[in-house]
Amino acid sequence: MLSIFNISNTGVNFYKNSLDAIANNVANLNTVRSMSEGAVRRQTVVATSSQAPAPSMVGTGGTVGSGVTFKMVESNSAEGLVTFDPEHPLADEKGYVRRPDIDLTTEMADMIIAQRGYQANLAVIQRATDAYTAALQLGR
Amino acid sequence: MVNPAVSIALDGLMMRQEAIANNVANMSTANYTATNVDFEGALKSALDTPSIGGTASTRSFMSTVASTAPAKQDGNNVSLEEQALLGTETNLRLNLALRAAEGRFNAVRDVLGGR
Repeated sequence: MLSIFNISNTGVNFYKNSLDAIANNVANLNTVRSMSEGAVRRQTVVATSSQAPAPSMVGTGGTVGSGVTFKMVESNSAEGLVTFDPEHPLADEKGYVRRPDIDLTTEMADMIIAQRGYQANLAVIQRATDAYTAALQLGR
Repeated sequence: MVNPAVSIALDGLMMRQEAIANNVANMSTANYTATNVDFEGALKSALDTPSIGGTASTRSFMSTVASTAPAKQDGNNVSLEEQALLGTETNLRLNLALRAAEGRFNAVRDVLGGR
């Protein structure tokens, strides 16, 4: 009962975490580190859910799946983009600094996907609310 | 009280909504195949045979069907448009089934004196 809310909740949560990771990446787009430190790493949220139950009879008490599971992944190496910038206060004696290997175009594209995914899951919640409300009107 | 066929339809449509919710939640999961719930086929053949036993579990009418739609690069074949359309249609069907169940309740209320 009411399991649609739980399923869609995992979806909304996944895309919200994706948006958080993207926000963090974009905020750190210009974070410069010295050569002795590692560069800022790009974060991504990856869906890890296993496949829905194999096509079969659902059977008593069976479900169609329980939503999405995900994990946070720090991609790219700590190498970053080694840039020659001798004016920078963090530059080493040869004049190099580490900039993060984050591409704004990729982040923006990912952001649109995450935003639409978030909205799609909310739309499912809205539809489930309509269905449950209609069922509650039975016998009134 | 409610016609068993209507009851099975309500259960099946609700489960289809669950399947849609799960597909939308897994919209960006790599190698995920969309699933749908089918109960109409089993329900129709049950209705065609003379006795639809009250003993049959409603869940035994439902089966999951894997989508055969072409997969995207990441092996995922959930089509958001299709799921949105299917969800709207399922909700309309749910309202229809609820209307059918309500008819029975209204008849009982009329018999009881319109209270």
